[in-house]
Amino acid sequence: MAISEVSVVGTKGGGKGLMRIYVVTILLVSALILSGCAPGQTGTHVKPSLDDISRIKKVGLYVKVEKGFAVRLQYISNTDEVFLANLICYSLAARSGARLGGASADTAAAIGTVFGGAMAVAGEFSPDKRATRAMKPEAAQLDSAESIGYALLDAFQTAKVFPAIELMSSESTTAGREHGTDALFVFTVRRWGLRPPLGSKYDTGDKAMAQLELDVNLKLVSSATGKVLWERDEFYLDSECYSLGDFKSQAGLLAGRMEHALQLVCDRTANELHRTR
Amino acid sequence: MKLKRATIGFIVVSAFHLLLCAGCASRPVKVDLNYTPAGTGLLSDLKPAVVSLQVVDQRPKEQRNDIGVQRNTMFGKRHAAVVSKTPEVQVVHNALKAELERSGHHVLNPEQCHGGITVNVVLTQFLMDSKAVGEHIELVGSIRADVRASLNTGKVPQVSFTIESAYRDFVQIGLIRPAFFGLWGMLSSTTQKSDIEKALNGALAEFVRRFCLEPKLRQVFI
Repeated sequence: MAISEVSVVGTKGGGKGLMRIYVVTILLVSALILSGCAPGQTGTHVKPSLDDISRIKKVGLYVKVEKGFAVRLQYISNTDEVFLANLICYSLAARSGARLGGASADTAAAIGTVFGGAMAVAGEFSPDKRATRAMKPEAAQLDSAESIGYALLDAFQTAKVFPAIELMSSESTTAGREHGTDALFVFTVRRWGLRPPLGSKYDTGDKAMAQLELDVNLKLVSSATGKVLWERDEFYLDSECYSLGDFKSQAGLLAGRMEHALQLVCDRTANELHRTR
Repeated sequence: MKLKRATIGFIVVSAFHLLLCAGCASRPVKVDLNYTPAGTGLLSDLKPAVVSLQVVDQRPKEQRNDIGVQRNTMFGKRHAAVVSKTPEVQVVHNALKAELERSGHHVLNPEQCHGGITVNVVLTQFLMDSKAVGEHIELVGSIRADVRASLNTGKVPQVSFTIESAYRDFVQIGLIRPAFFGLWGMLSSTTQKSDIEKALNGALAEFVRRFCLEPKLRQVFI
């Protein structure tokens, strides 16, 4: 019904009515694409029920890494990897703008694509990208779902968050049931790396000060029903600041801070699950 | 012809906005900070107690005047300092007091209290900042404090711990509103006051939560 009305408006009023709808749709789609890039705000989204939590005897731990290690010391960091989305949006916006103005849509789309592409290429040579590449070997110790999984397993066992815990290779609740787990604990690393201390200047080079950040989504899912029993977004900001040069030159410093961060997130998880009201 | 008119209009609006903004670049942003509790009291499962609560400031000098930076959303350049209408020590004190009282505990100042539990909070950080992440502005607020809690009778346990809270949220860069002010409006848009407040109040709520869920503090109440 709505579609036919739109078509009538488009034909009666020349191409303009339809064109406006086209432009608005493109803008909305672009906004939707881009809004998906930002993770949620810190806090508890699904509160646990004590009954549900107390029934859990064995938990399967599954670790996902959405974005691996990245240095984000610049105000605009190309390591955020939204350039493909930008490229598409520049192209679509230029194309629709050109149609409204009566210019050649293909020419405008080409200009938009070239502009977006130039930005993506420029990003590849930015200080953050170079620093991320230079620190990859240092970050490698804890830059995979597997390595983070083993570090977490130790931390969870030490903190006694759950009576029994096992590392899983799948997020599926069916696999969880096959392993005899009551719930799956999905630990999603949304982002981890180095950022400038709050309120400081956005410096470049090895003298720039940096602190470790870890952004995770924690979800406890029932193996039997697939229901989310608890969900929280946790953001950890290290209290210790070092220069980027220190992180590069001191072996084990980055991995040590990351292990400390994982331990703290485990402790916080234990506090949240045991005492949340 | 239409294009020419639109271009002239755009330039005029940009110039007007430039004139409007020229004198207010360095005026500090004054923010309202307060804790809004939700749900049942986080310490309501513990036996009601009389608590002597004291919050002192031990932040570095340079952090006492500015609790954050209002930045240009496009380039990240510092636009203005962020200051709180209420002193930060008072903000933290009020928040902890509100949560303790909501949970059924009685909070007094140190000079009024001669029994019960003493809680000393030493504030070491109270900051916010923003950063561009793709098409969003990332807002981060952080509060840190060293806490010492003990029974006023001098009996054990006496505990000390550090509370670190960090809150992160995202807002759209929001070019539609500044676009009304032309190109200059877009280039000179800054972090909104309401977003700065959101980051700091979010960090405050997380700080109170961490404080209440801290196992060492709970030992003292039992």
